[in-house]
Amino acid sequence: MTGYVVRRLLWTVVLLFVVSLITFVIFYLLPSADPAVLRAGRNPSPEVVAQIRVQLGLDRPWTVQFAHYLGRLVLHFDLGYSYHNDASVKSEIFERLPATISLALGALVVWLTAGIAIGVISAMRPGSVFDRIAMGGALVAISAPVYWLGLVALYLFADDFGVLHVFPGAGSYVPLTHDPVRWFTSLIMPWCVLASTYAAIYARLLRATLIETLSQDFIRTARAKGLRQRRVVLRHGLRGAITPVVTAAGVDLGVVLGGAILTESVFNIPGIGRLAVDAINDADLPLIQGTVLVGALFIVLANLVVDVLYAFLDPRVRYS
Amino acid sequence: MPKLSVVAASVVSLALVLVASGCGGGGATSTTVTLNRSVGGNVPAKRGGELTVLSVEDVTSLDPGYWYYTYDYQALAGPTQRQLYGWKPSDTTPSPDLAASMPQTSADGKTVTIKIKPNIRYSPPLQTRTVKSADVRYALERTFMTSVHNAYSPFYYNAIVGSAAFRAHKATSISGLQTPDDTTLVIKLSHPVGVISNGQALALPGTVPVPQDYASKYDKHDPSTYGMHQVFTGPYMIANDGKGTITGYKTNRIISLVRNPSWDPKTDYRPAYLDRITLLGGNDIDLASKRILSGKSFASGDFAAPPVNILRSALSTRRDQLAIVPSQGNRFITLNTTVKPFDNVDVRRAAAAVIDRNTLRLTRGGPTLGPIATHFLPPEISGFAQAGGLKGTFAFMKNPDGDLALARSYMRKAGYPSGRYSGPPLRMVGDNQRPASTTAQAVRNQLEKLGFKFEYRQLSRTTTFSTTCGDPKAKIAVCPNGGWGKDFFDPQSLLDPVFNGDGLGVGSPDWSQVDDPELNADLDIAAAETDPVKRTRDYAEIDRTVTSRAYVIPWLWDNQINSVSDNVRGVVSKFTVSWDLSYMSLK
Amino acid sequence: MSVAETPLLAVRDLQVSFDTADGVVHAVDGVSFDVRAGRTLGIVGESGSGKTVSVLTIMGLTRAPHTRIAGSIRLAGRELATATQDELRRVRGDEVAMIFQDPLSSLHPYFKIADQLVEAVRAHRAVGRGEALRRALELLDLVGIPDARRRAAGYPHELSGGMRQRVMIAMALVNDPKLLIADEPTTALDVTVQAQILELLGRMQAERGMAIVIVSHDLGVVAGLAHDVAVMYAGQIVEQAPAATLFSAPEHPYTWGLLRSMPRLDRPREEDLVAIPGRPPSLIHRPGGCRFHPRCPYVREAHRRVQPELVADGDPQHLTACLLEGPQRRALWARLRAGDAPPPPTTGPPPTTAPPPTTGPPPRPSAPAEPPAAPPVPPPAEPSPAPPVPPPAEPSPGPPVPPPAEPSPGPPVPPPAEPSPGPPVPPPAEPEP
Repeated sequence: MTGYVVRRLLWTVVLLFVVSLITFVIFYLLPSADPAVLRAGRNPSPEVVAQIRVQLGLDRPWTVQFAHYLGRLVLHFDLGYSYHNDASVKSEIFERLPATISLALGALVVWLTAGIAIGVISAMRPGSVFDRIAMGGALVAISAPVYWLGLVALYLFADDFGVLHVFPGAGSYVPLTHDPVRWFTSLIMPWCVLASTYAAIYARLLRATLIETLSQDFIRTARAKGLRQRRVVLRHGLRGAITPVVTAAGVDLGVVLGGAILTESVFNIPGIGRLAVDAINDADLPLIQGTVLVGALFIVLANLVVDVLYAFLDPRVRYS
Repeated sequence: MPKLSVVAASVVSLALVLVASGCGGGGATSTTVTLNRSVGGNVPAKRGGELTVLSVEDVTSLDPGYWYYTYDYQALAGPTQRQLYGWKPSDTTPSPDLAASMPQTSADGKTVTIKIKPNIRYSPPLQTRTVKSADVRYALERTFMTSVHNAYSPFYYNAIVGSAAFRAHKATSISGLQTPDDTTLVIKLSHPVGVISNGQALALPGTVPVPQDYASKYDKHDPSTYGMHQVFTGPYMIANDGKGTITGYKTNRIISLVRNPSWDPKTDYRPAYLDRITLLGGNDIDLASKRILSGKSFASGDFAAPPVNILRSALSTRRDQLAIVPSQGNRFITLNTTVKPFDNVDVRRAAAAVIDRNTLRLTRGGPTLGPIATHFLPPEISGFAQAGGLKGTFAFMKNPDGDLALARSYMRKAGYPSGRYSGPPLRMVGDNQRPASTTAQAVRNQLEKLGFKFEYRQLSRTTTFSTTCGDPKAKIAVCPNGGWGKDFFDPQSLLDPVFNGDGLGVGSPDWSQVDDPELNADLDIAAAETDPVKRTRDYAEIDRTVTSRAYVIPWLWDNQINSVSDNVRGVVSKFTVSWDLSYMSLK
Repeated sequence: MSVAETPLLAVRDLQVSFDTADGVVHAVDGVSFDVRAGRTLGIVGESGSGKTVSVLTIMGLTRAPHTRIAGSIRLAGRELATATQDELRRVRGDEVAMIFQDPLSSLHPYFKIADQLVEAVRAHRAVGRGEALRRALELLDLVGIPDARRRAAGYPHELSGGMRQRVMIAMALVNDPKLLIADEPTTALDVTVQAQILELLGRMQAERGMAIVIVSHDLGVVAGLAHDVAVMYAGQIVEQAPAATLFSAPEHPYTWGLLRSMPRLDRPREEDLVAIPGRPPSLIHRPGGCRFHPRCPYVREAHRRVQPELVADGDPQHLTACLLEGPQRRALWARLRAGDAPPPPTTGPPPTTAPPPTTGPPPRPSAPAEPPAAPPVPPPAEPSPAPPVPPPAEPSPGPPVPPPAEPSPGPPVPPPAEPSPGPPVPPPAEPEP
């Protein structure tokens, strides 16, 4: 197992290298804009642009730039400086991580709780009124665009202009360490909005796997043992059906940690996703690289965690 | 505050009403857009309280030497610093701020002398230090330093003697900037510069004093880190630890302004009613507009107007929370003069004639968004009236709905007997964001009436600006989403960047790639003119020239629509055309 | 053994049907049997004969919104068919336990063996985990799992198939049930392991005195263990008798088929592994008359219309549901034992209710006299190793039975007020030709 994890981690490094190489190449082959010109500002003189080009190192071949970038990254864990405002990419990312982590973990709790609860109740009585309403609702939640959902939530519940003044609206996020109560209340709507689609997907996924699991022989054995129905479903059934949900949750969490762009945008939460959008708009390669690497790292790590978790979830799985 | 109102020409408004109502029949009402620069009534302003400004983006830098965008001015330059000359909200000429009086120019126009106030102090940790003329000299030198990346010094300060040597690192200071004593700054110029003599180019943040002994350690970094450690002279400062490090700024998120304890109101014209100003970036424009209009203690920041749907209802129900002001900028379609067939002036005129500017304006929200442009210089910029006022001069710019017959006649004149273009498809690059994308689509449809065919691409604004329309090598024939705003009220800041071929290069707003030696010379002569009357006349003449040649097709002189919550008393600065935070107060 | 002794389990006229999208599946249709303490009942039949559904219904494991259950299931005098879910749950795993066909899929793959056993104990006994574990290990040891403590800490997939089934048996016996139901307990196992498991079941029964119901499609599995055997076909019992009787003197043509499909050590393999032609009937559209008639080689026209009753013909413990006359049956069996092949099922108007079999060889439309093509006919000259069968006219080879005091030999007397759940008393009227 340890050997397996070590090997996977080494692969992660290789993968991140490839990801950053691809990002670099895409940026040079299909630049969204010329960073030197953007940096130079309104109506720049050609000399200023040229000067900035030299200063940012953009005049050198991209291979040299990439080698330079990698060198700094590997030797000093230095992700470089924003073309746009010279901020340290590393500190920008670390500054924004708490918001994204707050959003992602909270949403994970919401979507797992809701998804599992709805999935279990639906699976216990397939075809019942609850099941039909829940699965219909899930379909709506899956099809609803997050951005739209966020706007609707704000128009309904935001305490500044909502129909009902319930929760703090967009831009109300504060760090946990700053004001825990406000942190929590400001994230309620983002959590629910971000979680809604996932909750719906998970409810459907769990319902399907649980219905299948409940038809398994070992469930019949559990019943034959004289266990109560609740224990049969929640312990034997759920334990057998939860693996795909945990797998999906791990990967989805990785993706969301890489930045929940739309949710962060609509609620104006200063997270990694918004940072990435800004970086792309500004053709800010170091920041693009940084956010892409963070996103890729989260996804790769999430996959690794899921695979390790798998060995605990399913004793039949062994890695060597 | 004076209230301005502009009555649009009735021909324009009649056509608009028809289009807007879709009735297509007769009707003879005229639309009046009332402009107002202040909201909140005549109650006396109250001191204290906190205002929250909602913005979509962020300031471009913390460094005064870099600030060049309206939002930099609104959020930072105005409230936190003092330039040699500042802008009172209702003025179009600068007033002495750090300076004690207006600049004194010698008879030959090549020596400008400025006296500065003796008792202005910096914010902590330099609270005991007063501003000296040497600090302004260092500030101006900084605008030539590579670590500061100032963008306008090549245009406005290039004539300062010794600046070229300094820029080329051949001198350690600029010889043409002299400080005979702590309150006197003498600027030596190689030739007269109108915008220095009239103070306009000295009313830019490049003249915000920077104490060299304190700042030089930060300026050694490339880029300079002075912005994060700057000392303030204005009524407010970005929250900091009092030891020279800013704590109240997070990129794209928040700028937290608090009172500057070193600021002495007796030396300043700004009232500075509010105790705190918090500027939040990264907002969705829809949500921000909603929050401002229905919330408390909010004001709009960096966006030009609420989205069309919110604006429509706000105009009827919350008109007293909106300040509609001319933006002193324009929007135009560029026709690349280096690409056939737009090298032919008659083809360009034909294109100008066929454009239905009314429809284009509707894509942005209709008459509230400003008068339809008939030439280049917008209202409130000197030379506007002389260049044709609202009505304009040229036949092909007369009909706001477009004039297909006239356009056809120009096409025939250009050698297309059918009145329709018959060459290969042309490249066109439009913005990919609404409403600009809608405008671009409309432009395309209208030009196709003349037989033009397009290879049409939609790209982001930054891409358009730096690698397609803004890149001479890209040879984009038509860019429908051009536009330019003033640097200050002098017409030079509008006409020179867009039409002076000497400034051509990547990132230049001269998307038509105009490079006419005669025009370049005229622009240079006008720029050097220090007599205000002659200067205005020269630029008006240049406006007529460029309009008659249809290098660009101006179609809108924008209004900016600023909004506040109903408990905010707001004043718009004519200079930034957005809320002047030093004059805002809560009811 | 006294007939009057109260059986541990008494099933009367059990009917189980499922509503499905295709129609009502009549899985069990009027099944009755008794099991007494310490005795083993074998239920034999092809898949789809209703044997598994019958025993699952005893456990209450077929209850579902779309299932209809009628009849009576009395365990030690307590009615289970109408018991509440919770009453049934208390019985399951305590008084009645069950083991299943595939021990791998029947054990939870994600729980440790110890946990699964401990859970079974604590579902019915208010004991601590330690006590439950001690009990579990004791049972694992008892069923012959070496190094039980270490095994118990592992997962089911770490054990061999036989060990898994031993775990299942240990889990079933952990609460000392009065009745153990074993549903195809050896089907998924190797032949050598099968014998060990059957031996274990026998030993456990001998040591603990519990009753066993063993369900199998294989008469051979049942042969060594069961005291009584019931043969099921299409949801009904078609023959029921003490094991010795059934094997020596089977009376139903279907039983004959089952017997002939059994591998026997005393015959050359190739020649006598004879499958019963045709397939079990649909349980939605059941054949009219005798359910077996589409596959029966001795079918007469009347058999398609008249349902046979499960009755004794001579030996009161030997019940058969067949429309053939007793003597005739015995003569046929004698000829079969002697090596004759049965004739193919006769043609005639197809039964209106029976759909054509979906797969497998259909009943042959050949003339009755013609020898069947499918089952190879053993050479008639070959001497049969089986004992000679007495002539059909002779009385039954079983021990002479005193005239029964009751109309029905096996089942206990129902309360007089109740409609008789057992086989009807009068012998069936002679069917019309």
